[in-house]
Amino acid sequence: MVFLQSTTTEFEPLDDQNLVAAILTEDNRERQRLMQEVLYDRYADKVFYKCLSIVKDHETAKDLAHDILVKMFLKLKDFKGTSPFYGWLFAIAYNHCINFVNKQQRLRTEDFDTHGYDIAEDEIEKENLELKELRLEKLEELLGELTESERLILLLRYQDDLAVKDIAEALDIGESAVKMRLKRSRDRLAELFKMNSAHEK
Amino acid sequence: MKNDDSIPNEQGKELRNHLKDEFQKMQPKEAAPAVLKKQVFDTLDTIRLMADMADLFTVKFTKTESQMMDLLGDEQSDNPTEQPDDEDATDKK
Repeated sequence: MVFLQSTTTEFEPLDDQNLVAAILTEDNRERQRLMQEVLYDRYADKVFYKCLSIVKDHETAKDLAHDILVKMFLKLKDFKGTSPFYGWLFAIAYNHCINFVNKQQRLRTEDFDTHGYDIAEDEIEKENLELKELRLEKLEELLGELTESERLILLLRYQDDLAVKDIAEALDIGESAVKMRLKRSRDRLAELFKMNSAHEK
Repeated sequence: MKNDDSIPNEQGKELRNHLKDEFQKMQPKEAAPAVLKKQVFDTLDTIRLMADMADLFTVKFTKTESQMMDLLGDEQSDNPTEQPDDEDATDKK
């Protein structure tokens, strides 16, 4: 009898939801591994890049991505398929990175006075209007000069387009604290941008 | 905290949209290191092995032991005459 050997290409056409369902129900460990590899190949680069954009250190980003991807496979049965897999995975990635940053910098404590910083969400970007001149190339350069916590909150807000309420939930802090941290991070970005522009002139 | 109300909300929104656009233009420039894949799957294999071992020594071992006890119990109840014979022998003595 001739057995046809499975390859990853067999599972590549499956969408995320069906692929996850197939991984969870497959009894043959070899086939299950091939499916896991397909899922890994789909998301490993994105997870690694997300970690790298937060920590800016190759080795740390690799360690974080490792833990997140292992967690992804171990928690697959918790994926209900009601929301996109990407969102589900990135919630795991965020929580992991946030915990890491919190541990590094002890951010969980309210590290500055947020009293009175209770303004409407639409109004929080009113300041730092000079940042309108900031372009991608310079942005990437300046982000590298911010701290991990400053980068994290800006990425959550602008790259992943999270509302203040969602960031507050993810970071387990109050909305006023989020607004304050956003302001401080943006102020610092604006300051670096100004210094950089002045230096170039 | 001072809040500059002289700047209209529109400008704030514009700035947010601009920053959003620039941040979202950032694309992965580097792929995940090749060694990461091996590390992830090695870790998964180790976790699976440990789970199998734990399963072997807790669930499966206990199950086998209780099955053996059941079998022994069954054997004894299949030969109920053995003990009375011994009792008879003692009585005769």
